[in-house]
Amino acid sequence: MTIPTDRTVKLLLALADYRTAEQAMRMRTRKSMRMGASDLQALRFLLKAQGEDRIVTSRDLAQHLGMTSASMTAMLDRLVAGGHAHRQPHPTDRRSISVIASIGSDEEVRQTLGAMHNRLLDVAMKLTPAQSLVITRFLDDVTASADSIDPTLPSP
Amino acid sequence: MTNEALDTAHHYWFDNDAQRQRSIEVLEAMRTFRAAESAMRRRTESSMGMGENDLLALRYVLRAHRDQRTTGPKELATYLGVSSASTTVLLDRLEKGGHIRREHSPFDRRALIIVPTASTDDEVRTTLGDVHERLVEIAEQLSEEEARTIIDFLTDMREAVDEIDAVLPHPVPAE
Repeated sequence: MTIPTDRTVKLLLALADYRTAEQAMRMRTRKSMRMGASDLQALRFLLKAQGEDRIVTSRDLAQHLGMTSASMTAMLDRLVAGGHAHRQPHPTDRRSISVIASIGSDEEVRQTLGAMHNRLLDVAMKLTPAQSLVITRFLDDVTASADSIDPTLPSP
Repeated sequence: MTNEALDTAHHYWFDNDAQRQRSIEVLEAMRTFRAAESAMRRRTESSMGMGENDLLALRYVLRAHRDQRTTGPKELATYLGVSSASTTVLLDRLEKGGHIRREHSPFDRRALIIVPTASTDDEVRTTLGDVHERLVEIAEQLSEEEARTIIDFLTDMREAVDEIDAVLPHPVPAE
């Protein structure tokens, strides 16, 4: 086994620390991210239907998302409270309620989900072309080495 | 607007686009590395016989120790997004396993700090997990400047990730 130099140890620690931080971040955001994902899915469905001049009832939405009507109500309350959508009487069926996505809601939700991505993008945007290349090449090499480690295969 | 100004504006957008594209490629490489690394860990089951959360918590405590910073149960709970009750159980387990001990803070006798018990070498080994020879070779082949670039980038990324969805208390110096 090669004896790693101090610099190598420092680099490997930086890599491992990043992995630890990322795993912890996933734990912290587990709840809010999942909620965000289903909200986004609902809004996408609404916006698509609106683009095609189709009316969506809360029952349609629940069916599309595979949700019970009780959790659909909770989700709609949340979307309405957040200003992402509103309820409106159905134009032809007086017993049902139609759901309308508010203007700009798509962008807003995308931004919420993208906030994390943007923060990381900011870090990457500070790199020079040469630095980006060094990092990308290093990560590709590390990926290839991780892929090559398989205890079920005989060692080369 | 003169032609020259138009040209400059065009270049500005073009450069910005190219830079954005490069940045996205870097993030994409990060994501691929993460997926490959997780899959490799699952294949090799190199968890040192510890649960995922326990290992994460221990690594966080070790990092703080390396940075000469003390950390307490409250900070750890915030960092991991778990309740203080689960943190207590987790720390009990780590203490019983001989990885950490809890001490009274020298600054605030009502507060507890988490102190890793391992030697420095063990700390490094715990943080790194199983390091494969191939990975060491890749790192050794880098020039001084390349290594610096990568370390700085990983540190910046780690700091950005740490800020996501967390209100961490201000770091308390160890001494």
